[in-house]
Amino acid sequence: MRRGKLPYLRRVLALDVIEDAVGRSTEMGRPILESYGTVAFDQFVIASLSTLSYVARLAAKVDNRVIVPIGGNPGSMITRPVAVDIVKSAYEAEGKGELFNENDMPFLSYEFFSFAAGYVGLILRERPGAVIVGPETADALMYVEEANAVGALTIATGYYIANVAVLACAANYVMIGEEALAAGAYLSKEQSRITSLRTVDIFKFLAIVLVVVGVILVQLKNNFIIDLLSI
Amino acid sequence: MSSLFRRKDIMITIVAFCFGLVIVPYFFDIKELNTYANNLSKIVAVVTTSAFVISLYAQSRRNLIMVRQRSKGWPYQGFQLIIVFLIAAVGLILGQASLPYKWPIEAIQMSGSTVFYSIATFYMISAGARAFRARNTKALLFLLSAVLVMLAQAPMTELYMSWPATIRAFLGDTFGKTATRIFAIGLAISGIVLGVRTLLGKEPATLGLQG
Amino acid sequence: MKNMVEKEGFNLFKAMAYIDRKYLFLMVFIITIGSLLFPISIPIQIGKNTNLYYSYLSKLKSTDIVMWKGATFRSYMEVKSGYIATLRVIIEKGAKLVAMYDEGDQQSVFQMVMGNPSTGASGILTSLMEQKNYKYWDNYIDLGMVLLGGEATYVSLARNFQGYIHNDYAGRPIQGSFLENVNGAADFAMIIDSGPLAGIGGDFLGRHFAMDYKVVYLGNMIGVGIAPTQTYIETGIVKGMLESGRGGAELEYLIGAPGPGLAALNVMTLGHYYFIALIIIGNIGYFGWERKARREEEIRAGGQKK
Repeated sequence: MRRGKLPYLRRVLALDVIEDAVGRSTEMGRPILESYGTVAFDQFVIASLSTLSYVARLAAKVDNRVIVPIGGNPGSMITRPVAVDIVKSAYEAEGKGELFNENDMPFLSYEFFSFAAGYVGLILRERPGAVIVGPETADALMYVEEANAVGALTIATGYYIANVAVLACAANYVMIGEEALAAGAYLSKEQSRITSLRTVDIFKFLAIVLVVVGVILVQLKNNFIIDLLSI
Repeated sequence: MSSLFRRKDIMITIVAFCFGLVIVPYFFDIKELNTYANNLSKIVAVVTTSAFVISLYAQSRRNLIMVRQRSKGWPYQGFQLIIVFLIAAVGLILGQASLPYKWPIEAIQMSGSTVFYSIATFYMISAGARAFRARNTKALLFLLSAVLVMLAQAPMTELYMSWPATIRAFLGDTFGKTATRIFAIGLAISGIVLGVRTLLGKEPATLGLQG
Repeated sequence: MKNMVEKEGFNLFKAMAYIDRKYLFLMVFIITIGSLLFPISIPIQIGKNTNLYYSYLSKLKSTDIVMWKGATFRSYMEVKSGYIATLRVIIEKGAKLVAMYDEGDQQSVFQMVMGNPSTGASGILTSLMEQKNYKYWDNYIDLGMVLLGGEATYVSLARNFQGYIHNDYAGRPIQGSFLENVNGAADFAMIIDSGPLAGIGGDFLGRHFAMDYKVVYLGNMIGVGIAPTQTYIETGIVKGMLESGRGGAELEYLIGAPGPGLAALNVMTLGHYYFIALIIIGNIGYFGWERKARREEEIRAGGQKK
């Protein structure tokens, strides 16, 4: 990779529109609501925390609130201190430390549907201008629909392949699969992190080559690739 | 002392050490290392489960503040506080198998969860009426597939027509499985690269740092 | 052409595009309650995956040990019919059962069905268990939340069961029970994941039990887990699955024990048809009114900008 030259990245609309979403909410005088997932640390939660960091920074710049409902799983309290640190640091970095309010990051419940009920209640009461739904499972559609009902712009994370189809229709923007995982690198625009996205493409290309070669070999009655990939 | 552990390089070193401790036993059968890896997993499991104690504290603190400040909806927060501690006290004094403890959980909390799960139906219906529009060719193809698959899913359809089931099987075996596999491969590769970025300290958000 | 946005009075296409949510929800109630009050018997076709699932389940013997991974309450609500029907078969075959969990409410769900051996509270299948003399400790053991700790836990269970499991959920040592001779995954005849929240096959049980030790792996799947699991059925890692509520109803039909699954088939049918109707009506309204209205609004906005 030539130094100083960023590799080409296709646009991920759901991530590009975050800045507009924050601006829109601020103009409407409404907060932004974002969730980063219910479980303790997994790959999607890590990626969503990067998005939270970005959104918190933008919100701090324009003196807006970020509401982060937390819960849904006993392990969600493990991630909460990290999320609180992220949002607090964002406000302090912009010199707006006094605007940070930990009560805007409520732990709703570790019981899944109690959390979902609380989340929906938050949307209805706070009437955010933008709702960024993190990697949620059965409840993602509830949040997106309720957000649409209050007139919020919705950006959803397609956590399951089954969820993606419905969220693509119901939400304004959706991050499909690895787009969410690439969020941190994509939003940072740092060369080293964006280069890692090129690594993903290289491995995907290798996977395609393996599939094609494997298909050809199987037609020739050779199971070399299958045996190679069998654990 | 706490500021030492908040240094990025220290945090990344701890993450890398734990990663090594868990991943090396997969490749090398070293008995002591296996023991330490198992113990680390148990510690993580215990900490994760015990997090509910912290959640109880956080929730109570928040509710108390809202009650004290008479924030919007404060009676509900007060009610929640009373109920949580009442049920906890009943459970501690009378035991978890006692009726006064089990009844609120089974009759109220579980029933409430069931109701909220059922509410997902209404949201699906609302999304179906509002959002599923054939705005372009791709959306039209998607909707047609969805309608055909749903038609095949309905048990009564098989009484009168067999072709929806054939189309459903075709769509599932070709596009459905392909999409699932693409999704799974993409997620797996991206997950590995994300993990490497985290280990190298390129995902500072994981450590609660700005980035 | 008349500007349909400014047309006064009732517009059928507009009404179809923007149906008030309360009427939509009212229809759901009517369909659900009507189907339950006036049920119609519908013959049911048994799917391939249910047949595979049942073919393995029906071969269980009284000497077999089945590992049961519990379902959370939220997945139980969807897979209830298959959950109860599967346990019914295991009880009737007299196979040994070991229940394990990784979330708190999974044990409550299991005890709701099998009863609570500590308190003597009865469950849904208690009468069948009494009939078949299926008792706690002799026939089934509840180990509690032993599946925490991620992949390392599953590896430990698969390779060194005795080194990891010492007691049941109540602290009673497993020595003296049917588990004392279980050393690892190879000693289990079957694993049943009774309501996983995602696809199975590529999960920890799939990797360390089914792939390494060729244990028969069955899943009672919620809707979103069906498609990902199908690929693993074709590679032979997962031997069969129940496809959510429909699969549970099929299993109930196969074993001749009608339950909540078969009772819900009418609602399932009418619910599906209603949803299809809504999509069609919404799109008629979209093409008849909404699309034109949006175009006219865009033209007007473009005109004002100029």
